Amino acid sequence: MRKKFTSFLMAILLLCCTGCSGSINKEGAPTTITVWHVYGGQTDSPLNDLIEEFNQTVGKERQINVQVTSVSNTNTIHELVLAAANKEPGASELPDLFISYPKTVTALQDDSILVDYRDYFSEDELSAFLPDFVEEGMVNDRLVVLPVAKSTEILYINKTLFDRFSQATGVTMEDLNTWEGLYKAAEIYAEWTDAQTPEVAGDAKSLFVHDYYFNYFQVGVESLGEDFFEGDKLAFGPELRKAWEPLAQAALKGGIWLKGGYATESIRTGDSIVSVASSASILYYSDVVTYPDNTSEDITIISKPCPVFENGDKLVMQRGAGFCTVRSTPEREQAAVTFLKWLTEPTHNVEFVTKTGYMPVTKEAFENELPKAIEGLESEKYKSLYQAYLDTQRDYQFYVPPHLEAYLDLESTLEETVRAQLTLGRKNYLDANETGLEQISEERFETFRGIMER
Amino acid sequence: MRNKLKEIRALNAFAQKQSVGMQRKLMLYWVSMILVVFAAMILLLSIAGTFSRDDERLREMMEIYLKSTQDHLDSHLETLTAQGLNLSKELSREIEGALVHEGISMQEVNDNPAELLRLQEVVYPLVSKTLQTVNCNGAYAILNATANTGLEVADHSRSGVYLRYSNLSASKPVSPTVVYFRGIPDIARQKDLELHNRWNLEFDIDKIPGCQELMNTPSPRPAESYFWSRRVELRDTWESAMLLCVPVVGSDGTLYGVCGVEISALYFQYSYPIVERQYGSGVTVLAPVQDNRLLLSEGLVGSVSGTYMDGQETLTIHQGRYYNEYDAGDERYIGLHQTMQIPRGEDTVWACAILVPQDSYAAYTAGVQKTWVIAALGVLLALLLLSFFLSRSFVRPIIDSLKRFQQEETLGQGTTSGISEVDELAEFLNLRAQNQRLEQGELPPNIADLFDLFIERKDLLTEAERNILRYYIDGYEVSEIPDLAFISMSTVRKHNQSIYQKLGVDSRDELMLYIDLLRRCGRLQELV
Repeated sequence: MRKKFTSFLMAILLLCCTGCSGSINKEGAPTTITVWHVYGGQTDSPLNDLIEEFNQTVGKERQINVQVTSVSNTNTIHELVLAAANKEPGASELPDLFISYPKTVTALQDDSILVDYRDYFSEDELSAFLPDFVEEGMVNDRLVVLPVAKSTEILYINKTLFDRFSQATGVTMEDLNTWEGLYKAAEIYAEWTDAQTPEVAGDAKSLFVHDYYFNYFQVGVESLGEDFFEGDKLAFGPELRKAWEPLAQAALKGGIWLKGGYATESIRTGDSIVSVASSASILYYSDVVTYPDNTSEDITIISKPCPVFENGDKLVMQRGAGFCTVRSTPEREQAAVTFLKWLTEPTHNVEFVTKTGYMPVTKEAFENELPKAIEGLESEKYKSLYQAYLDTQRDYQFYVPPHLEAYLDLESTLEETVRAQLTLGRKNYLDANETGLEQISEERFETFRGIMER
Repeated sequence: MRNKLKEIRALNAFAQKQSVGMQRKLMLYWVSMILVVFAAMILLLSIAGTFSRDDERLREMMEIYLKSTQDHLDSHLETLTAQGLNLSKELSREIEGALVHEGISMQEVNDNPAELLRLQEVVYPLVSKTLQTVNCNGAYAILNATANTGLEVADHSRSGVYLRYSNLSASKPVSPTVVYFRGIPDIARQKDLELHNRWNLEFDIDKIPGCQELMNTPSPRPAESYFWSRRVELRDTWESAMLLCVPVVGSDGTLYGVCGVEISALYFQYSYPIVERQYGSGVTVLAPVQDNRLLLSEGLVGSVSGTYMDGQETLTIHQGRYYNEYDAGDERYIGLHQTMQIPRGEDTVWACAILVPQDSYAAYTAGVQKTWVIAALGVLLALLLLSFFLSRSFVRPIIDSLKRFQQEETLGQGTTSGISEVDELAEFLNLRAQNQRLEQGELPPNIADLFDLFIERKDLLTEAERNILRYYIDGYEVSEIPDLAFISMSTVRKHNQSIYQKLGVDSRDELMLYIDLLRRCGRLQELV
C-alpha cells in the first residue's frame, strides 16, 4: 500500500515538472540599457555596429539589450547631462550610459549619481588599462569615467586643394610643421585667393581653421615653458602674447576661418583647406568638397602631427572621453558594466578605435592588436591618420589638461571671445583699407584679456 | 467555560467508547476519495493549461490598446498632414511673391546661385517655424531648381532647405538643437546653425520614393497629391525616417517644389513608448502590409525596450482566433493589427499594430500555470494524506480486532472494537460457537465443568467405595448391597456417606442423577 502510494506521488510530481519546464524554457525579457554617445555624430556610427554585435552575441546570452538613444557631440551631451542632473524643468531623463569628459563630471554638483567603476572592476581588470587613462577618469577619488578611446590633436590637410596652392605659390607642407610657418602660409593663401578675383575686394579665403583655440593657447603656452593657468584664471604671461600675435595677423588678413561650428564644416564646403582638430573627427571628414555651384570634387585628406612653436617643446593635447554609468539598480548597472567590459576587450577596443580615429586604452590592445589592425586598414585617410598618430607618440609629449572647476567656463568664454575679437579685428582692418595691422591686433588682444580677466 | 470543556471531553470519551457505525466512516472515506479524484482532475487540467490560457482577455486588452494607439497615431499623422499642407500654402505664397518681385520664373532660378540663396532665405523662416511648432523632428522645402544644370546629377538634384533636430530624447527638451541638413551654407552661418555631419548642398530626390513622380505630375493639387513615403534611410547616416511630401504649387499651376515634415525612427520610438503589462511588453508599429506580411523595415516602430526587436523585421502574419501571430523567423510575436487610412502615395496598405513577444506571453502563462499546478498538487497531496489517515483509522481497528478473534478462542465480555458491526459479528460468532457445540452433543461449558469435576473426584474413592459405586451404577439398590458385597448395612451406610462427601453430592438421589446424566452423555465409563 505504501509503495503504491509513493509511486503514485512520484508520477504526479514528474508530470508537473515536465509540464512546467516545457513552457518556462524560453527566455524572459532582456534588460534594456540606454546609451548616449558621440561616435558618429549624425553619420553611420561604428559604435552602433559594435553595439549590434554585442546585442546579438553576449547580449542574447545574458539577456541584455543595448539601445542607442542619442548620437550627438560632447557639448550637447554635456548640456543635457547637467540639465538632467540638476533636474531642470524640461530636462531629459539620464540614460544608463553616456560619453563624457571629466570636465562634465567636475561640473556636476553631485557626482554620486554616477557609478564608481572600482566597485565593478577588479584590481587586475583595471591594471590592464594604461594607468594615465585610468587616472584621468578619477574625479573626487572615484573612478567615474571609464576610458574607452583616446584622442589627440592632428593637423588635417586637404591635399588636393593644397597642392594647387603649393604649385602656385611655393608654400610646402613642411611649412605647416610650425605655427609660425602655418600662419605665414595662411597670409599668403589669403592674398592668393583674393587676387584671383581682382574685381572683388576683401574676398580672401581662409586657409586654416582650428576647432579649439583654448587648446591652441593652453598647449602652446605650456610648450613655451609658461603656466597657462593661474589659480582659477588665465595667467596672461608674455608667451600667451607671443602665441596671439601670428594668429591675429593671419586672421586680420582673412586667412583664418573664425565662424562657429566644427572644423569639418568649412573643409566640407571648401571654405578652408587646413585644420587642427581632434583625431577623432576623422570620422566626419568627407572625401568630397561641395561648392556653392553644386559641383563636387573628390579630395584626399592627409594627417600630420600637430604644429608646434619654433622655440617650443613638442607638446600636444591628449584627450578622450569615456563612458559614465548612471546609478540605478544593481541589475542594470551590472548589465551596463558587462557591455563596457566587452567593449574594452582588446579585439573589440581596437576594432572600434580604428574605425573612429581613436587609440585603444589597454596595454594589450596597443601592443598586440593595434599594429595588426593598422596593417589591415583599407582607407588611405585612416592609414595616414594612424601614421601621424604613431609619429606623434614617438616624437611628442602628451599634455593632460588639469581638472579645474572653472575649466569649462574659461574654455567657452575664450572660444567665443577669441573668435569674436578676431572677426571684429578683420572687419576693422578691412574698414581701414588694410592698414594698421599691429595696432588692431593689439587692441583686440587687450579687449580679449579684459574679458577673460573678469 | 471550563465546565463546558469538561463536558465536551466527557462526551468525546463517551463517543469513542461507543461503537460508531461503519457506514458513516465509509462515507467519510468515500468523500475524501472523491475529493482526491477531484483534486487530481484539477491538477491535470492545470498541467494542460486550461486555467492559464486567458486568450480572450488578452484579446480584449489588446483591442483596447490598439484602438487607442490607432486613434493617437491617426490624429498625429492627420495633424502633421494638415500642417504640411499649410506649409505648402505659405511657401507657395512666399515663393510666388519673391519670384514676382525679381521678375523671374522658377525655371530661371536654375544655375543662379544668387537667386537660389534669395529663395532659400525666404523659405528658411517658414521651414524653421514648422519644425518648431509641429510634432516632428525635421522639416524641409525642396525647390524645383538646381544650382548647376550642367552636372550629371542635375536631373535628380534639387536645391532646398532641410532642418532637423539633432538631439532627441524622451522628454522633449524645451530648446532642442536644430541642425542644417541640406541647403546653402551661408544661411546656416547667418543663423549660427551647425552643419550636419553629412550635410550636402542639395537634395537627391531619387532617394525619396515617389518624389520624382510627384514633381513630374502636371499641376498637382496639394490637397490631393500629397503622400507619406515609406521609411527611407537618410544617406550616410545611421538614421531613417518617414517623410510627408506635399507639392508646392503657384497660382498658375507651376510646381515650385515639394515640402514636408519628417518622422524619424528615433522620434517615433520616443513618441510611442513601450506598454508594460504582465503578459509582456507591447510595441507599437506603423508599417505597410503586403502579401500578408508586415514590413517593419518600411515603417516605423515604437520603443522596443524589453524586447529583442530591431525594427527591421519582416513579419509573416498568421491569423488566429483571439490574436494573430507574427513570425519573423527566429522571433515570434503575438498581437493585433488594423489597417489605417494613410493617404495616398503608392498603393500601400498601412497598418497600425501592437506586438508582444510570444516568449514573454508564454512565460506569463507558464507562470500562471505553474501556480495552478503547484496549488492543485498541494491540495491533492493534502487530500491523499487525509484519506490515508482516515483509511488507517478506519481499517486498523477492524484488522486488529479480527486478529484478536483469531488469537483467542473465546471472547471475554466487554471486549469491543469500537465498531458496532464488528461487535455484533463477534457476539454472533460467539453465540454460534456455543450453539454449535451444543448441537454436536456437547455440553454447555459450565455443565461440562461439573461433570469433569465429578469424574476427577472419583480418584478420591477407595477400592471398596468404588465397588459400591459400581453396584449403584449397575442399578442396585442400597439394601441389596450387603448381600452383594458381603458387608453389613452399617458399613454400607458409612461408605455411602464417604462417597457422597468425596464426590460432592448431598444425597443418593443427586448421585443417581449424576450417574444418569453421565450415562446419557456417554461418559459413564470414565467413572469406573
